[in-house]
Amino acid sequence: MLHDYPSFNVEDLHTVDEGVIEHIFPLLKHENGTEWDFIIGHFLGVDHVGHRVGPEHSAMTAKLQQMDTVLRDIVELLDDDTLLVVMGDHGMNQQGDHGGDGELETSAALWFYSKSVPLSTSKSGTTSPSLMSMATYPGAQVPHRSIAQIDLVPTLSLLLGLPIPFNNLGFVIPELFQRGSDFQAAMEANTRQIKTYLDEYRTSPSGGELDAAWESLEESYQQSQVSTGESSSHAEAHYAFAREALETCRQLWAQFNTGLIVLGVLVLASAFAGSVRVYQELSVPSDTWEIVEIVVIKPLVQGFLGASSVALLISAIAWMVSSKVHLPISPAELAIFVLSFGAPIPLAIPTNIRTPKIPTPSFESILLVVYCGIFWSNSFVIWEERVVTFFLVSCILPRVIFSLGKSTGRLQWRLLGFSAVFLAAVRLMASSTICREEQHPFCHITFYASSLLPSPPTVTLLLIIPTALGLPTAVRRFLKIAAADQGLAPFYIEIVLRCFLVLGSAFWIIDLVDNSGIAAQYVDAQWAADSIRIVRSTVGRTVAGGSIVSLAFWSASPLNIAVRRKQDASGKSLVEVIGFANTYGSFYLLYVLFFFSFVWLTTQVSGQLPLALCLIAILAYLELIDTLRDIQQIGTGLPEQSSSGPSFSEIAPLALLAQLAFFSTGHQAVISTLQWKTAFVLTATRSVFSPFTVVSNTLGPIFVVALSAPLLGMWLISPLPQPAANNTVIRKTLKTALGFSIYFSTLLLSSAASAAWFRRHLMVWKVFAPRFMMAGLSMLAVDVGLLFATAGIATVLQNVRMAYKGVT
Amino acid sequence: MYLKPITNWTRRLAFENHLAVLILAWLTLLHFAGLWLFTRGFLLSRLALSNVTACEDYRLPPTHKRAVLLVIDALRFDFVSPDPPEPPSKFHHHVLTLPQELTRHQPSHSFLFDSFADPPTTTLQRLKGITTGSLPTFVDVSSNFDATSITEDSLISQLRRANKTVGSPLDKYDI
Repeated sequence: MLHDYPSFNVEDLHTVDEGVIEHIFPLLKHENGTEWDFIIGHFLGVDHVGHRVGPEHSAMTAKLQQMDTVLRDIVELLDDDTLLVVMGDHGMNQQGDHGGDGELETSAALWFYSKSVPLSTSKSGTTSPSLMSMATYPGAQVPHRSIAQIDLVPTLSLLLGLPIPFNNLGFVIPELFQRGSDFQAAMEANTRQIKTYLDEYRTSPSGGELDAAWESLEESYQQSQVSTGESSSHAEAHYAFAREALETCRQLWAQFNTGLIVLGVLVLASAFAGSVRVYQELSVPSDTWEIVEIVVIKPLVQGFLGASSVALLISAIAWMVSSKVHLPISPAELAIFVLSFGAPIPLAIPTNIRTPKIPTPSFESILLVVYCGIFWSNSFVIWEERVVTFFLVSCILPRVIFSLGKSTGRLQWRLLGFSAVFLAAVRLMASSTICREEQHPFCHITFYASSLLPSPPTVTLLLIIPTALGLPTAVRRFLKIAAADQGLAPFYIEIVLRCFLVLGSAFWIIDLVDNSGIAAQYVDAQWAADSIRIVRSTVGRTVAGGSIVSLAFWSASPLNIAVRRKQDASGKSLVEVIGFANTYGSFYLLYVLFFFSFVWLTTQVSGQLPLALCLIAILAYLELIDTLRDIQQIGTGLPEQSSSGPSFSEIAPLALLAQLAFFSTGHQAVISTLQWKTAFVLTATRSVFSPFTVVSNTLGPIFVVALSAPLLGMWLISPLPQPAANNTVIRKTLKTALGFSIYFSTLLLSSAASAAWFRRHLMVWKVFAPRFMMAGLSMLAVDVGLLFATAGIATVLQNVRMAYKGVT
Repeated sequence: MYLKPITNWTRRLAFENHLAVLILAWLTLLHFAGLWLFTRGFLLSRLALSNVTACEDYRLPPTHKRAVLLVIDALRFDFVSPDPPEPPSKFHHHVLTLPQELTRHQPSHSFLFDSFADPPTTTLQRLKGITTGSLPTFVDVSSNFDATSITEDSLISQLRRANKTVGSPLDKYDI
């Protein structure tokens, strides 16, 4: 009995309604009267006309005339047992759009009609007028009866003899219950239902939201219970309680606080300005690391002290004022704002002459600005994954082609090889998608077998174990380029990592076996299910625990280098260090790999393939950048060590890769793509680990790329002379980290602004708000990833210093 | 003995790379603060309870066995009002006149209301309100962590529980 018609892609303004009309009339005919108890029909035409041409148009007249005719025909066919309700779900503004809280948008029609049974039998006026609120429609001369739209729910439920839905906050419409004591009974049922709901909500984890209002709500409820009988004060007490409950909940759940929105954006903007300033400071090509420290630290401390004293003062004033007048922003919120907005200000305002002049914007920074632009158009947000892939390829391809002509021989081959690996990995990653709802029918789901079958495609299942086995070989191959696979690296990569990856994939294969019920064909179903789950959880915990233990062992491990003594032709004794060139990068990479193993475990099989490709892409990219630098160096003849560190153009593609990794592992900027089944990776039932593994699944890909980003600042950097080399690495990795963070905070700033700007937009809750949430969460994932990176870098630096102590 | 690598690690963290840690931690805190303020003003959230009102609770003898609920998307009140704004629009006022006619002729059978739809006034949010009686929010956090989709008690689910047949020409009501 369900017929679906395309609703949002309809050009013709009538098709949708004709479909409904075509199916509704046969149902209403008397001979089909037994086929249904409740018909729900949705006419989309009026809304379409509104969006297309607005209400002041002859198309609207035609549409409303058609609706009038349809309603007349329906009323004609209506039998005595049937109640007719016709309503608008919302209104429209003068342009014909809706979504916000304008008077014209929130005013919708609601009409009840009973053909032969009167809805009201007693004389009107028996209900207190205070229960029948009136409102004057903008521009109208006379006020009209006004209700809350959700009042429909308890009213219709009770008229049909059904219980009132549990979460209802509406109140019965008095006019429709004027039959003997019906209204009193209806009110009492309604009040009890609302009270039950509030009580239940209060015992829930979010119950604290009601704290402030609870005493007053309890009092109103008691008021409604003390008086009985049909007195009007009794009815008023019930009504007062229901409306207080509704208002309380509206305050809690349904009002934007524009002030806080603006303050939030300002804080993000000031943090952005501060980080850009530090980044610029680090870009000055020098080895004057100590000066940077002074230039950065001093304003940082000044800002913090200044802002905290102002914050203290302002919040104290706000606190005193708030006892007299109601402030939309609490003193605590105000204090946090002043502190976090003010702290970066001394840093953001350039005070010294050393400020570098604004460089000509690179291609990548222009792309970033364009990327920010897509948050201002819903169709671009919907297709963001494709935009990202396009940007990523656009960043790389021109540089490669440009450098190809300037290089010869081995360099040329390296350039071609690494860019081919990188671009192939990116392309393959992009082919994995879960498709968001709005992309249909132009998107084909490859993440799952089909849109109805949330299990991996057969191809993925065939490829995953070979991938898990082969990925460590590929990683080691990359380290071999600089012979940096000495020390414990072969053990960590070939044995430990391979074990984790195979187990991580096995976990999901066991999960598939569990879901398929194959085992039950051979052994007792319950026993099979129990034992499978025990095995599954054990596998999960082994990988999770194993990666943590490996991290601890790693921090005390020697570097991936080997020392060999030999004599040169003249008989002089020489020390050769194998793996010297990539001392920093190769050791730090191991650190990344243990986090990678955990994220791998929390990623479903279909996401593991793109994740493997992502790791390959990162490594290929590092080599590609090194090759490009070599080519450039031949051109300019400058020594590499004194360069200013990775440029924004070099960092930006990694940030894009992080975005792509998010999309290709089965995620989209919508809540519905959260992969809830990853909540059971470490335990078969819900546990304290569940939120953690879901977060790891969702943000893990971005986290891993953020953690790898500092590799750009230490890949193939000579560890001598000490301590200058260590200082160079500190500066370059911090610069890379900041550049990476700046990329994400630019996106965050733009998406937050667009969500705030479009808060009245039709698509805000479907497109802009979820995209903002994704931006906010990925920003935090990047922040945390970079903080973890500093911990890893500190260990690397310490080990390098010890290893090369006294060597010149 | 066992703790040595860990204490070493934290010490290195503190002394070696201190500026990086300081700056990145400082940025993280600023981002947290900004997001916290913004989100408090922007993201409306409530917990969706999955409880269902039992059949025997809160009900009355029915007046009608059946009902036809027709949602005309974006049907603003003045489109059907007998007293639209002055001067009325020739395009959309007094065009759909059946509701006001019947209300005039059968005042105890026909009732016309101006209803306030809680924002955001987007169709899906409103349909949820019209069926559950609850307020719209963007993030309906599920009270049941295992559930992939949120199901709240609604008119439709109550009809189903009462073994009533729901016919709909559109499948989005198939809740």
